[in-house]
Amino acid sequence: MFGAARTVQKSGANLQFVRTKRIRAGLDPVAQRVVTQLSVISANRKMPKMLKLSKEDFVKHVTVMRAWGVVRKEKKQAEEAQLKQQYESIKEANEDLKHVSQKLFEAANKLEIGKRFPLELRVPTEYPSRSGWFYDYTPRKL
Amino acid sequence: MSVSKGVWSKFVKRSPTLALRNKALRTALLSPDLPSGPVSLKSKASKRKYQSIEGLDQIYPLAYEVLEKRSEDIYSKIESLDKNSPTYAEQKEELEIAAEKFNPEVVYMAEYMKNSLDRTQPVFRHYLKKTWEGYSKMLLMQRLETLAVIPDTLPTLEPKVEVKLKFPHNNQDRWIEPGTLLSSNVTKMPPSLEVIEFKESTGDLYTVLMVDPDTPDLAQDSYSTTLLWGVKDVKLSNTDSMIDAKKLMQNEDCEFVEYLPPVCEKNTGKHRIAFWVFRQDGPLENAPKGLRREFFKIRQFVEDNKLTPVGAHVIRTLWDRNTENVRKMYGLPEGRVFTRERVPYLKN
Repeated sequence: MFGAARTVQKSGANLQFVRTKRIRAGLDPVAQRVVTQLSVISANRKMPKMLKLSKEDFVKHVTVMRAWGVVRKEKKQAEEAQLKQQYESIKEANEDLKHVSQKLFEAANKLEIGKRFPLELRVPTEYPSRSGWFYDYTPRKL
Repeated sequence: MSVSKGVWSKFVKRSPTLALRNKALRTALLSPDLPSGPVSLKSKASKRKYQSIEGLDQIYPLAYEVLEKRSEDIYSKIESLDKNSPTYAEQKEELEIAAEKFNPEVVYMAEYMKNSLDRTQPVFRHYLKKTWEGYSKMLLMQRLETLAVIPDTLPTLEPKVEVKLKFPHNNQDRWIEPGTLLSSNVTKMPPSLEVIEFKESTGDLYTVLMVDPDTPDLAQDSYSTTLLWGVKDVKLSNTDSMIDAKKLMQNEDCEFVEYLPPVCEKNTGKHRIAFWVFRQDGPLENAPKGLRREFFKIRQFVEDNKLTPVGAHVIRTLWDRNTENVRKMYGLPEGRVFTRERVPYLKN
């Protein structure tokens, strides 16, 4: 019913006789669909939106970042200093041992090529691991 | 409630120019949140819909405290410096920069109020230098090299100061970018220069030379350098860095070669006009008033006077329909017209 009514109006006197196909504004629907699909997967969509900050908030943000940098740097420097101190004391102990007993010193610093840590041994790390212990581990039977 | 409890809110030993003048802005930067909204936003609508970062009000006071504490430590280090050491001034300036570099008020001013910074403060000079090195310095060197001002006028340049240039041809107050092509109407009056020092400077003497290395020299079938303007013994400091008409009127001995606008002859192409700024050791002696402009040997002049080139600028001009008017203004004869082919009877 509606279709018929529309056809009547289209063929009415207010429509001009058109020799060729009318060119409408914008892309044709097929091309438009392709463009939409491409824009959805484009890199532009995946970028997080830029923060719009007022000037004072931007300066505050920068201040916080810098303070964080300073704190982290100080912590890192303290850690490095401690490690260095540990290394120095190991070295000093070794020097002492060398003076006291050459034999013991050589035994302590013997090269053991091919010797490995057993697989079951937890690797020494500075911090505990996130997952903790691997409880289901069963040693391979030879 | 102010987040500052230490050195950054005390102005007994520190300069008051390190604090923001605008009270609303200052309270915004010195309080955890924004007590009277975002002051820097202009329109009411954007003020109303503005949302600050979540959690910033809690972490900002902590960050401020950390940085202020660090600054306090650095200030106490300055106190304990050995004043008789030869590197005392250098060390002190370095530490003063480090102490104020992260102060939010200073950061705000250095970022958004670049035109009104107090250049007697080492921090602000540090920030100005960083901005200059980031763009203008590189641009200047690129223009000097591509236009071959280096080495056509002087062998090379290691820029130490920022040189800004403008002409008083209209009411617009605009600095000229190096390498711009200007009409003779613009260059008809002497320019004003701003020489921005990044070191501490109190009354250093400067020389400015304006030369045109593209004057045709028919006898040699080449080009020669013409001195268009020579200014010497200009006293500049961190607070007063302009070389303009006012200053030259006050000290008439400064201008040893009066300003002559670049009036290019027809068909001689684009002329490079180079401005060189030199730092002087002492008062200039080998620069007599009314020095000969034509066939100016700039390298010889620099060597004779023991000048150190610290800055430069370059513009370009060419013949245009107004050039003859400028020539008349300065009482110069009509310019020659060059043709594509050198015709003998036109030589005279």
